[in-house]
Amino acid sequence: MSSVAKDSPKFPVSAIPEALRKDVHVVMREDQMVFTIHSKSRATYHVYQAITIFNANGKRFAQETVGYDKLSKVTSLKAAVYDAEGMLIKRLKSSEIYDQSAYDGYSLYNDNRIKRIDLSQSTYPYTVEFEYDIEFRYLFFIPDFYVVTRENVSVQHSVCKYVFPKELAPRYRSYNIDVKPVSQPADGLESLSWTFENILPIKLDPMGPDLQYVLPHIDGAPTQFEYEGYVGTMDTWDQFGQWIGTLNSGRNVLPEATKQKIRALTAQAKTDEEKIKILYEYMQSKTRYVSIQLGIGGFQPFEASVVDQTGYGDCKALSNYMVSMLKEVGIPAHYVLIRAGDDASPMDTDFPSSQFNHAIVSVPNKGDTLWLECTSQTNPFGYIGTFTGDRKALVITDKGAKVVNTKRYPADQNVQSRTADVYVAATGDAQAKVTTTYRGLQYETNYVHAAVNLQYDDQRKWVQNHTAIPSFDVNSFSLVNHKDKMPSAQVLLDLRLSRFASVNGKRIFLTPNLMNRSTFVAEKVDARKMPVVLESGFTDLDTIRYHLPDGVYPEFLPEPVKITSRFGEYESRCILDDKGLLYVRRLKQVKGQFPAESYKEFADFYKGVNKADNVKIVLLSKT
Amino acid sequence: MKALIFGLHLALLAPLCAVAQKSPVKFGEIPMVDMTMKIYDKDSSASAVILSDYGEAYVTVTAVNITLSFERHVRIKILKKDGFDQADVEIPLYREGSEEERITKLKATTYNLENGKVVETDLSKDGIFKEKFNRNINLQKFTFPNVKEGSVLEYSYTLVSEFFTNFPDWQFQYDVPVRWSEYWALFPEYFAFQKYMQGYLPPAIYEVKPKNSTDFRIDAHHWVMKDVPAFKDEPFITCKNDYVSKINLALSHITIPGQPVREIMGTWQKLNTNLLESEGFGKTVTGSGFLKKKAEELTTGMTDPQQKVAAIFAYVQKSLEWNGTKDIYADNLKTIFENKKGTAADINVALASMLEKIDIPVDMVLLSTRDHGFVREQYPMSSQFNYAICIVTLGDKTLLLDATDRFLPMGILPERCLNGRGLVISKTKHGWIDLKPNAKARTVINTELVLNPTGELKGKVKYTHEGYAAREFRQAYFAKGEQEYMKGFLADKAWDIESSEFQNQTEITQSVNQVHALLINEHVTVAGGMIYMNPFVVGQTKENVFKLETREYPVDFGKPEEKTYLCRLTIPDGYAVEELPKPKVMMLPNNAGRYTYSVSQTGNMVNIVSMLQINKSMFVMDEYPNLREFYNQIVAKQAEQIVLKKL
Repeated sequence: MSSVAKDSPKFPVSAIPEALRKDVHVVMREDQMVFTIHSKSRATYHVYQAITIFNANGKRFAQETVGYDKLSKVTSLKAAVYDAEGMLIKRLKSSEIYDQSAYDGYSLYNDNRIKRIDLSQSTYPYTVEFEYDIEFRYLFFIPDFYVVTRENVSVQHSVCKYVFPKELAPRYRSYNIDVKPVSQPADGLESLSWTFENILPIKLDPMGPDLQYVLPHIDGAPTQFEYEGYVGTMDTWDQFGQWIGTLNSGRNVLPEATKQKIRALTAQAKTDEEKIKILYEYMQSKTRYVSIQLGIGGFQPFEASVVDQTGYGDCKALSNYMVSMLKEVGIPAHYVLIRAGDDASPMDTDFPSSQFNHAIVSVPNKGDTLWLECTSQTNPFGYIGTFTGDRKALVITDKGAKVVNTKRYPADQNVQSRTADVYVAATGDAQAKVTTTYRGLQYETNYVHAAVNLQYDDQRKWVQNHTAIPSFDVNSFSLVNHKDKMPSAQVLLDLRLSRFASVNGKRIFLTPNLMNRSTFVAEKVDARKMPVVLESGFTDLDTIRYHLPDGVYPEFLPEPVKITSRFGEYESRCILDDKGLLYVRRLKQVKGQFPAESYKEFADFYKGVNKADNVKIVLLSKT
Repeated sequence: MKALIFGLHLALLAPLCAVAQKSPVKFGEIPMVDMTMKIYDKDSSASAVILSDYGEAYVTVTAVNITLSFERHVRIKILKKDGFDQADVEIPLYREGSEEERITKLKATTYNLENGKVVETDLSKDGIFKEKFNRNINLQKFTFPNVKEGSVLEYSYTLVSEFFTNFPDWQFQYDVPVRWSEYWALFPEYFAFQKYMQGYLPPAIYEVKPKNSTDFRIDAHHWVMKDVPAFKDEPFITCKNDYVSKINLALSHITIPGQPVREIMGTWQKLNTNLLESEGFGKTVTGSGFLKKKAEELTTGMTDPQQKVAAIFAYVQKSLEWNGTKDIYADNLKTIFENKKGTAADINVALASMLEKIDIPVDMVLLSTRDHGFVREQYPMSSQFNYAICIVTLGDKTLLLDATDRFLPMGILPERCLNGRGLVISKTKHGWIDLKPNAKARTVINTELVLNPTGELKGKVKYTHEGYAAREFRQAYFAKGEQEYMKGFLADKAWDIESSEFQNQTEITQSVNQVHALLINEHVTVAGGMIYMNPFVVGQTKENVFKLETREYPVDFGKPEEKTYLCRLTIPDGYAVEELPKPKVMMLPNNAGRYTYSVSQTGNMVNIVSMLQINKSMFVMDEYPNLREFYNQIVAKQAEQIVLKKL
């Protein structure tokens, strides 16, 4: 950071062009990153930022976190803060840098550490300035550069620059950017740089596409690289896969006793699938997930023999162990790298680079591919759900790697179906017997897939917290787990509903939608520009039989409702018959991407659903 | 905690080493019944059970130093996969300067039953890690190998510490049941300890056995608890740590023959004296001379002391931002004012210091915030406190001040401070003071709506937030800005807003209002000449928050609450009221809670007023069934409908 006399202004807010100050929380006055490749095993990363923060919404920009580990070092870290006139308030002292373990919440041990700085002020606007350098004793990835990271941010000046020897030129890909990189050779090194000036804030629409499709950014990746002695190239997925293959190579040796054991276990199995299931469940019973990430261990699995001996490992180790066992009984299987998480942004299939956070296993199984999640002791065989289902993943093969889509879960297989008998008394109190089955991705609705494995007391709490009825007591309940490839959970409830129906004089009001009322309201948006994305497809079926007290007749029965749209279908109706009242509801939502102009139609669809779901029946007492 | 280097004349003392007690179980000898156990008979739902938890703490005095040793031996049965997290063990080790607690003699073994035989797997060194967590804490972690349903895990270690005043507390209760928990604390006669038990479970054994070693006596305190149930967390409790069964220990003083008594803990009176003389506390209040000029400048021309206090309070509240840290000691105030932010102690010591400069009678008050647990007044240990505020005395009036929250007016403490009593640190007024809420969380929703025959409602909804409710509103409003606030506000409402107005957002001494002019289309049912409408267009209590039938710990609301909803409805021409909800009044015993629902009609106007008051913050377990039923009835009442009929 250049030294400035304490009394001369450096970042006066008045120097920001008026247009960049409209509708912003922060302005990036300067945002520079330089990634320098020194050799295929050494790189440095330089960041310089000056950010003016206008209000509390921009507070996070005053906080910087710099990560490092055993193979990377923060070689310098400086920061300062300036007032609205651009006068220095203070420079950061080294004692104000908080250095701590980057506890990720699940790793037992990793060597990632962070340095954290907080320069936030209480008087706005103010400007923070950060400058730091990191030295990497490896080359494997290049940090992404986002010109704009969120709404209400404008950019005055920003630069992304790569410096490299000619033979180690990195690959790059830019998104939502029309600036072309400029090449400037200097000191025997090549360089590429993108410069951005006066970028206005962007506006994001709710329920829009993943941010990586919308925000302007540049991704980079090395060609040749080296990580703790493991050399590779990643111009193609095949090359990337070969490098992973090298890391994994020789790590699939099982102890002789285990070999014999798994052969014996599978000896009686009639089909391959049966064998795979036996070994999967054996793996589940023998191991547990313990995450230990050290150096190359962030990418290389423990040896199968270590997992066999200790009974634990992380996703890589357990997946490698599973592949090793399958190989032993003659079933080919692949180690798979994937981006896990129900809101993970999709893999960029056209840009080979380190993009993954998880490993699973795929078994070709003669065309009927099976996907195995190896880090859970309770996961049903063959089920991968919202964690890794329906997305692109990298299957590591003998020759290299292939990009494949994992198992899909279409809307008509993700079904929540419910039947109930409700006995309503004239006082408004009621008894209800409810059976709900959660199938497909709905197996994960309200974490019922976890609840089925809980202790009785905790299951009871789950029932109490996830039964959407205003006030009730639980007489009894049970949860049943069906661990199939398309798994399901069944929840049986016997409930006492106090004042379920509202009794006003001679009238009884009752909402026939017992416990599945939609409350979703689409946010109002003017002039939507982005497509509408529905992340999941599902179907809900409710069939509720009401047994009514004697001597009442309906004053008002709602008309049947049927709504059809490109987003899904909805139907509900009340039928009065000799046994009482029957309520039937069906809601289907499909997964997909829809044009921006369909947003109002989408909002109206749910408006209609909400209205129909909240409709009441009015009963009159004959006396 | 500091490592105290004592100038002990150790020539007087022979090396002291307590004769170790015995763990009730021997390492490696697992009874077959525990190996074959499938469910724990005292709690069939348990995912794991701690079969035996044994600890022993003693000090060793040698010619050069005093060390504290803590031996631990734990045996755990894993019953279900849910219980696997018991296999990851984490021991925090305190460090300061070059001194650090350390683990010795770590042993850990997994036992599995395979074909009727017990197979042992020892902890491998790949499974042991030490991690620096922050400046003062390292974590010694290890993970057991080969853990399965049915495994028995056993570990033992000795923790050796130079911080010998830091005698370990002992927790009897965990989130899995404990079959046997035993603790020996061996206090040398020269060391006097204070101890207190917390939680709802009594120990099965508590005894003190004198033991003679070579030269002096040891008091061996011995606690045993058997069949300790698992601790279950519940909503609306202040702090889990208040309720688990635990014995807390603290060294109070050391008396060595021929030497003056060394106070470690002392008395509240001594703490008072010490703090008044401490840097970062009393000294910083009376010192910090640089603040005098500003304090005088801010109060120039003022004669009313209350006005002066208000001016200084407003200045500190505005100039210093709270960084979220709760503490007792302030740093250098000059730096704090340069950085414009600080901890709770930084800010409130600064406030006190400025008040002191203009001769306002001010003292500091120590307290324990709600998440930090109760204060036990009979145990004078400063570690019970984690926060400091100010008290100002003006004539016969006292004012408690905390300048850490920008959205609370002077004299109203943040909710986190409302926790029992605080200790006034003062030359003249030392003693305890109640930390009671001076305000409610009060919200009034006033609706004026005109209903037309198609079921559309048009009109105004006005919210008034007062006291803690106003604070909550301002916090949300200023954290996000008006646009984002409205987005969140409308997220669950199908309203067409025509205009919105906010009033008094920044006038924190006044209530804050929001007024929305709107159209509501989705609320009313019109059918066959009838109109049905719930008078609550918003603010209806739709579900009882107290879902569980019974309660193990008190319910704590924190502060009194009041929620009022007014409905002024104009019914359409050509319609008459067919039925209205009935008025209702309910009360909890001793007026702890009150609900009124009143209804009236004048011409084509229907007026409904619903008012819920919770007048006290803490409800004990016996009161829970009443409280739950009270809410059940509110839910039912608020679900009732207005029925209109076409003429």
